Amino acid sequence: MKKNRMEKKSELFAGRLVQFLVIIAALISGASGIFFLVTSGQNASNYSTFTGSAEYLRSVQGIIRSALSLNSAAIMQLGILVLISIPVIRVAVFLFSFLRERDWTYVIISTIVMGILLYSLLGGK
Amino acid sequence: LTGLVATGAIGAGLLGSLTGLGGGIVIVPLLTLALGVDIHYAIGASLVSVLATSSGAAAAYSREGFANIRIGMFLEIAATAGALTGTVITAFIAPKWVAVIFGLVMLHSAYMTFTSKVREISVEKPDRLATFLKMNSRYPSKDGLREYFIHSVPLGFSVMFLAGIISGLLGIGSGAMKVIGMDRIMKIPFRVSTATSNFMIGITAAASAGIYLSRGYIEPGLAMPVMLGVFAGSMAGARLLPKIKTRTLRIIFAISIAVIGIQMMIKGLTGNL
Repeated sequence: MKKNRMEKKSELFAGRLVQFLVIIAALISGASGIFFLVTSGQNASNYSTFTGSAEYLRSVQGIIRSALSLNSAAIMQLGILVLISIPVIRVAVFLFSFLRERDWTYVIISTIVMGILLYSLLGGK
Repeated sequence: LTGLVATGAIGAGLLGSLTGLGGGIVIVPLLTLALGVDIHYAIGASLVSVLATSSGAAAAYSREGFANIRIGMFLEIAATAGALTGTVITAFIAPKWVAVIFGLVMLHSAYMTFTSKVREISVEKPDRLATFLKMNSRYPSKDGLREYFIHSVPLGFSVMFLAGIISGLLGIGSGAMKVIGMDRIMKIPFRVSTATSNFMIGITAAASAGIYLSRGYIEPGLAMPVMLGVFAGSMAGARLLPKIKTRTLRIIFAISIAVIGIQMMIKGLTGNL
């Protein structure tokens, strides 16, 4: 089965979207990273024993809330969150394209993958 | 420390895009062995490097290229389920065993780098499941579009589940294993396998990244320089790729991976990690 025009189009669209999101993620993390280093870089963090990241950096809601109050660690984490969400968005784009093609087998397949990803991102521990 | 991590990540991104092995296999030993970072944080940062590699490559080529989205999506059911399983396993086993398994996987990757070869693509009749799943496709080659047929879907699916477990357990993309599954077992042409694998590793990594985020493994102070470094490294790598001979590079890389892999196992077993 060769690639049809619809699939080519959604591949191109997904590609552009990834490009855009990669730039966003890099900008968010880069800018806040510089700020983080300037303000608190000297009291070097200790990563040699595992204590886990701060509680507010562990959930989507927590990250967004703290980022909005301009916490620099949270803004860096927001950039990482954008990066984590890129594959989820890619799957969503292809799910939508299979839906438009009425390719039900692949609609189901993409939905399962999407479900696992959303479970991990929003629910799982 | 941030500078060191970023420099290391640039190197990891460069090597990753030049040799076809993911950055994770470099990031974890760099952080744990060289910089003394706890293995949990290292796994979190490494997952971020896998995500950056996958998205960075997709952004560089601006589309999926040779990737077969249908195959990738179907196999991702197994890989993401495996990744979730892997994250559950990590919670129950001691870090030293994670280090030992990591060392074994590194040795295996090194071995694979030596033995990889180009195989004739299969023109035999496809199996029924592959046809039902509309996986057979064609790809552009020197002599125009060539058709290819997919085989052994159930076995390939099982290999992806295993690759997913390893990915979730160690925070690597296990791209090498995915390529083996597609190239050798399912008889997918090598270029299609590698492109599809790149599409897949990001999705597998995202499946475990969410869990690890909520467990506090992803520390922004480490993950941020890793992400930016891998972006920079893989972009530079994509530019350099046509200009240099990768054969020698692969051999050097395979040897160093084997050495570090053994070191990783020793440190794990003697409890110095």
